[in-house]
Amino acid sequence: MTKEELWKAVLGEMETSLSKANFTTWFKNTSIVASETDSIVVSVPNGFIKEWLENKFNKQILTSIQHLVPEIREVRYTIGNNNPFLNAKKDFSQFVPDKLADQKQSGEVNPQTNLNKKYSFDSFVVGSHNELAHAATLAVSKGPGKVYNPLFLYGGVGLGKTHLLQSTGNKVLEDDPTKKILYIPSERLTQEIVESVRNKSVEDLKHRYAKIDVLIIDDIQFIAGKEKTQEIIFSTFNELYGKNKQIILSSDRPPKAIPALEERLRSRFEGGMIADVSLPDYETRLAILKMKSKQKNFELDENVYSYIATNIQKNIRELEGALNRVIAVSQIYNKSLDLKEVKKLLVTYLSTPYKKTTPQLILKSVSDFYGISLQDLVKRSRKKEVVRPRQIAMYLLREETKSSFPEIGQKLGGRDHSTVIHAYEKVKTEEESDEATKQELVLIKERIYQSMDK
Amino acid sequence: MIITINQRKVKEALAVTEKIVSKNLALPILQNVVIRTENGRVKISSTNLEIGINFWLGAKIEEEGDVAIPARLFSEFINNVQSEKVTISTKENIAYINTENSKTKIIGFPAKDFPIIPKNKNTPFVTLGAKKIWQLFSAVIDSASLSEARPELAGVFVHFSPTKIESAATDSFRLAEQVIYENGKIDQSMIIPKTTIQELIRALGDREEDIALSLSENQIFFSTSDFEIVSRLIDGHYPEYKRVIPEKFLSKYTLSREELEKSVRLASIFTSSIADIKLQADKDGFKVLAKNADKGEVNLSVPGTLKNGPFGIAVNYRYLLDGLKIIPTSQVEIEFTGEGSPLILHPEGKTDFTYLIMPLRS
Repeated sequence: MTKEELWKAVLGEMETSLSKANFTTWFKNTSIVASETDSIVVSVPNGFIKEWLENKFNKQILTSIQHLVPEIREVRYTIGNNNPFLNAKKDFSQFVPDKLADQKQSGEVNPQTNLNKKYSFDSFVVGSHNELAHAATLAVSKGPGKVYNPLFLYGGVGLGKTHLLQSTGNKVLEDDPTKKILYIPSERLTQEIVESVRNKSVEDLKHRYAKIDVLIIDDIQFIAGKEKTQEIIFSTFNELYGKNKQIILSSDRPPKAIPALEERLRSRFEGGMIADVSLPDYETRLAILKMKSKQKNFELDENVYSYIATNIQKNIRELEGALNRVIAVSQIYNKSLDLKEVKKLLVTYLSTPYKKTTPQLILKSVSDFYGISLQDLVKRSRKKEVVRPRQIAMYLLREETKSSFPEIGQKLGGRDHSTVIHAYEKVKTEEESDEATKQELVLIKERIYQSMDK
Repeated sequence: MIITINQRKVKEALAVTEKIVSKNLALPILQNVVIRTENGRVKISSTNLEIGINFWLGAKIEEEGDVAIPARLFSEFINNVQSEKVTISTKENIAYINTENSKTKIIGFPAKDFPIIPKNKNTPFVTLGAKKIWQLFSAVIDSASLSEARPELAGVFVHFSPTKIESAATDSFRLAEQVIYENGKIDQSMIIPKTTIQELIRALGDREEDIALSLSENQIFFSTSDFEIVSRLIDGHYPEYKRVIPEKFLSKYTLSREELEKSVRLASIFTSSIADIKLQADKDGFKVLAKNADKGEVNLSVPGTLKNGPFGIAVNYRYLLDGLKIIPTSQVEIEFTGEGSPLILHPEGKTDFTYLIMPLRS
């Protein structure tokens, strides 16, 4: 006799001995959820019914069960919505948030390793912009400490560095659960070090780090200027490196460009493999969107994907944010949105990047960056220290504001348009060939965008 | 059972317990309240099988016992009785209620037929002042959905965390969120039925004492020294409402809450069948416009200060009034977040309360 048949028989018996109202009030949506040899568990919809069945009907229920299955000695009651009938009543849309929540639960953070289980290589979309980084981390995860040590990843915000780092950690742990892995953002590391300095337990801390098999430090650029942190990282690094333990680091810029970093650390960071993660192309962005919405079990219109992918270019996190927003709104309204609605919905997301860069802002950022006055930059002076900044300014004016060459010349001390063309082309070739110039330009652009946000 | 009890206290107890008593014809016992002696006090209880309320009051007990008597009848009687002291004695299921100058007989039910209200076996996970609880729930309760079509929206979402407690409610046309910066002790979310919160707010009245919250399987308990409310929790997942709240605004208008409320009320006379009013903000003022092809139109202006560019939006005036009603400050900040994107109301200079209205398509 199955659980369902048994409960049906009990209900049949109860129904005859109770009024209809009483029966439906107390026995609607109940079922047997588990049975052992001598006891069964009955699921009830709420606490009132549980109390009532326990106190009033327990004996009667037990007697009728024993008629059918004599060895049962005990009936227990539990509150739950395990009734299939109740589930069937829910409309389809309610299943979507259920699955969303499941995903969240699976994304729990392991307290020992700090790794978040939601990150895995399977959910990482590989494109030309991150091929090298992906291949390197994958190789490391297969043989930690053997191939590229240390592995240094760099790239802009929201492009997947953390995803790769965490996936590596997760993969290593999956292959060999005995491995000791620690994922730590560098601010947390600094915090721990500050704490240990205060508690006079620096040696304990070093000792603890020295036992790790795979050390992953995220956003290492934040240790710039923090001497004690650098010192501890240095000694931990040597200790681990000497024992062939894997070290993985990430930063928003290459080691060379991290300011106030001790030379001995810099050279060590550069000693292994350096891989960069750059901006994803349109196709990759589209693939990421589709992958993410598939993970959330949500389908969107093809046009909506391409709209989001076209309009959000610089940051995968923002891409996901926009997608989440669209999904959340469709869930609340219980319908799928069309392109027009999505456009309206995302207007605040997209309105900010379209701020116009002004020539004044560029000139100010350039002069601030090189520590020269704005007057020097626009004067006719041909001093060496102002010539290069001026050329950089010309290049940026052309690239960022699309001003005409004569116009740029006019702004920078009434120079001829051919001078500007020369400067533009010179900086452009330098940007492609010389890493230092490229970094300089990135840093100046950062300043421009930052002051624009204010 | 023979007890002597203060009429005013019984009235107070019935005010809290009686509201949830339903006209359940199928199970007539649910139309009753139970009066029972318990540990030297008298307990009055009611339930509709979703919520249960116990109220304890001091009394002179001569003989222990219990009885279930019809709630409406009892409450009407107590409200009209002209005596300070009331003596209740029972003989099986009949209650004799005597005062100095009256003798009454009410036919009730045996108390053992009354549903058992679940007892709180767990220790409270957090204790909060009545004022805090009131603040947390009173601001959002009106935004919860009236319809039971989506059960999770017919409740109030609460998220406890060690740094803050957030509550939110939405009927998918507007949304209210309140944050209080108190230690919520646990990190957990739950959906509490709207009626439970309404009863809780009613029971809190202007009390000042602490309320202890405890959880047991799928149920929540709100307990004080003299009453306890137990309710089921709504099973389900609340929509991720936070993603609907835009992080940035395009323009903001700050103006007097009271004046705006008056203007909206006035404009509401001229709205069409979909209750739409138009709001327009520019540097000359904040305009409230309503137009009805049959009745005419109205154009009102409220002064204030505008940040960033002018904007215009159409909303349902009822939702706007509901939101203005719960703004505690004299000035309200109205944030425009884009065409087709929600309108946001904040109390001036505060971010702990957010009220969001979806615009009407114009």
